[in-house]
Amino acid sequence: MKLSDQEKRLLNGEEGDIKALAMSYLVKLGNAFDGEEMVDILYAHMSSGSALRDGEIDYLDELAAKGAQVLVPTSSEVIPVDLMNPEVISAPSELVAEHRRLLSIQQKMGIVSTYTCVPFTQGFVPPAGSYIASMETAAIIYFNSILGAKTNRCGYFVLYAALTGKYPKIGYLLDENRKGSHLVSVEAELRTPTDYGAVGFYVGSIVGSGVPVFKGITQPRQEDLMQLGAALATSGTVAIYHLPGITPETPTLESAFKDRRPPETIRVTPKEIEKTLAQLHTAKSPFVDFVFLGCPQYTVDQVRRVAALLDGKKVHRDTTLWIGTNRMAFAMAERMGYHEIIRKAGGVLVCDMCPMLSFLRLDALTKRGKKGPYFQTMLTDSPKQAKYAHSTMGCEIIVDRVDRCVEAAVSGKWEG
Amino acid sequence: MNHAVHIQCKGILPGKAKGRALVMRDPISFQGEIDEEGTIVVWGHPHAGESVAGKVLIYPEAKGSSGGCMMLRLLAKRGKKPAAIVNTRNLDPNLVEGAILADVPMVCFPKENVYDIFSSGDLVEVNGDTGVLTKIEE
Repeated sequence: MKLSDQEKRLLNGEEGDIKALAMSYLVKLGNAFDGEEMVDILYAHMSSGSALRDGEIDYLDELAAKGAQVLVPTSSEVIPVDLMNPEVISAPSELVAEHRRLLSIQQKMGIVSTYTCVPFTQGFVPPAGSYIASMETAAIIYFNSILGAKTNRCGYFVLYAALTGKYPKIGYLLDENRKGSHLVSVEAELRTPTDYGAVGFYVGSIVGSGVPVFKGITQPRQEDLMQLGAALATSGTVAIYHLPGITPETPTLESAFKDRRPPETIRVTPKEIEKTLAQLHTAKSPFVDFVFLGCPQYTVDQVRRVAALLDGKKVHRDTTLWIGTNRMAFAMAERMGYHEIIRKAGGVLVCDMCPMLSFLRLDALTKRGKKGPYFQTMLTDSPKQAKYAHSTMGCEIIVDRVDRCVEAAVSGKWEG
Repeated sequence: MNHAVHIQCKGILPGKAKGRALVMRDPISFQGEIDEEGTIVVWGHPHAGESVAGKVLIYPEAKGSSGGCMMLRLLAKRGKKPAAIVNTRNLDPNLVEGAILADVPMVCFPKENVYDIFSSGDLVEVNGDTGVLTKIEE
């Protein structure tokens, strides 16, 4: 790998041991991919570190104690608990304490404690063409495909990228790897984000790590695209897709493929959408004790819509309704009275956390000597949450559109 | 007499490791599909309930959540990491990050169809420096 003089200084430890360590990891990664050079990144979205995984918070604490500071704007990923209202969701107090400690560590290091999977809804909007380093597949795919910023499927190394402002120019930072590989023809009316999620889940399972190019999607909303991307990156490893006319680097269908011819057209009709949702459905009983909305975290407008659906109603006594969002949307929901409506109905507007990464995981429960699953049956509007919650939380799953989810939260029963 | 089968791959992360092969035809995600003990927890997966600990994992490519690299790092801390990883179709930076942190040798893109040659349970050696994948006859 060719390094600039400044990068060599970082690697040689002339700017401190932490940057040298970070640089050495980034060079190893670059070499594994035959990377030729490093690029300067201008933004990072990093894993917060989870108290459920031993040593992660301690490691950041050590770095912070040595004066480690991020060099680029850095947001951070969801954590296993809601720090604002931990008692409402019965979050274990030791986990809450550990994550309050993490928050102060992040403050020291210059990391913004967004605890979000969708940082681009909260002011972190890197311009098209810029190099960034992001973890969280739902964010990665949105950055690449909708905003046109360039990121790999990064993981823990975002920390090292943020500490140095560098990342090896490999993978999806190279234009040749961003070319379309599959043509997808959507021949169905997509009415809700869940329909987009089903399309993404179906296509992701076919294309794997490919780069799908969609035709037949018109005027999608931000929430639709969040769901489409999250699902593509769950059933597959898709890091970028093209929506000609929307994806900044892709003005036309032809330009998505550059010199490459698409091998075949994947058709998505209403049949594939319903089949995909049915395949995710594992529950034998229609009674739902957990309704989870907000994967990816709901925007304030989605919170508004749920509040409107819930207004004047009561969540069933045997059912728990959580709506996952972030602090910025929460603040606005508070201001607009949406939170009050949801609270009065018996629903919970949850921040910071995500069920499948939370204290509700089977392995987290086992560690505390508790038997899982915590919830028997989860109804959600998100194929991503459905897929992961089934294996990590051990609950049976039903996926349906948001209005049906809210109805079931009120009646306690999904009307299939 | 040496009946070992050697297959040339691309060396990705250095180091030598030996272990029993776990051959999977489909991509797998370390986050959400493998638990903290290294057990495959995908319901209905052909290898559900089996452990990746100490195994040479042979599979097409990583998939799913970018939390996978953290899970691999955690498995290493808990002594449950795989011995080595062989990816046949694609190389995912996220997985490579995890393998660097977990110090797991890695090779990819074997020159032959390993799914015809290797079965789960075979004794396998991976040399991440030379990229050679060896099936050891017992």
